[in-house]
Amino acid sequence: MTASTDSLLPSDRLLRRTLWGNAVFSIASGAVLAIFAGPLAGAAAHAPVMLLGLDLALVLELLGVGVIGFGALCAWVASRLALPQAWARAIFAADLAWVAGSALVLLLPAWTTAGIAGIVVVALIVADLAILEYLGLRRLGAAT
Amino acid sequence: MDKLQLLNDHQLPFAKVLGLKFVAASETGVKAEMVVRPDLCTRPDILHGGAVMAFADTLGAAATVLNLPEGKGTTTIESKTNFVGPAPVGATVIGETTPIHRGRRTMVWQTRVTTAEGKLVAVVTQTQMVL
Repeated sequence: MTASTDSLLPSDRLLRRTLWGNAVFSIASGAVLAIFAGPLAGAAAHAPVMLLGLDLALVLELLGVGVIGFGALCAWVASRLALPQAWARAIFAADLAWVAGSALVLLLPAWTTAGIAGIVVVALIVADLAILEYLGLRRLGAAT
Repeated sequence: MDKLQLLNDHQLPFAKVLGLKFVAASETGVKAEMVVRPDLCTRPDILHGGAVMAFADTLGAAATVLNLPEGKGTTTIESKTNFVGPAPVGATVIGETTPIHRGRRTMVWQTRVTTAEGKLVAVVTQTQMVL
């Protein structure tokens, strides 16, 4: 029998496209973070900063690698024939956690204006992605 | 809207002719039932083999559709049926479709058709191409 999804299943286009956008943004920004961790750490803080006992440059480098991995996960989820909604929800939760974490990090007194701007801009982009992911999940009836 | 409601709310024209009703649906399988009406029978009054195959084929296609992203379609490219026993007129047949293979280009589904009493009527294995 021949059949199609047209007019049958709720659209996953918004969620899929948002996840692809998240993948591209995460991999690109993660690469920049990992490659230019030293200069970025110097520009972001007034003085050498230690986070969890690690130098800020090393923290940014590790964060960059992690974000690249996260971007790869987004691409994997977006490319599946049947989009795994549990993974999509996990990505949405991770994006929310990033925004909340950024707000906490901003409370540290160490940042320069450039550092604050960088953290805020990235958090706003991630917040936008999270909103689009929420709308995409809601369209599939999987937002909760 | 859940998948079961979607399938029942968007019945295919031929599924309506058969009187097919989905009772369970997910990415990993579908289940449906159909009453053996006199106009679906051969002589003697048992469900026609073509109706058995059409019933199973509809389930296999529906199960495939539940695994497809928006805008994709599917068509049956191969189907094989073992007719095991009769389904008499007035009986309700139940089809349970489970995946054998769910790939990006093709999917293979197996449907066991039984009577409501659990007597095996047929086993259908079909290959769906993703369009």
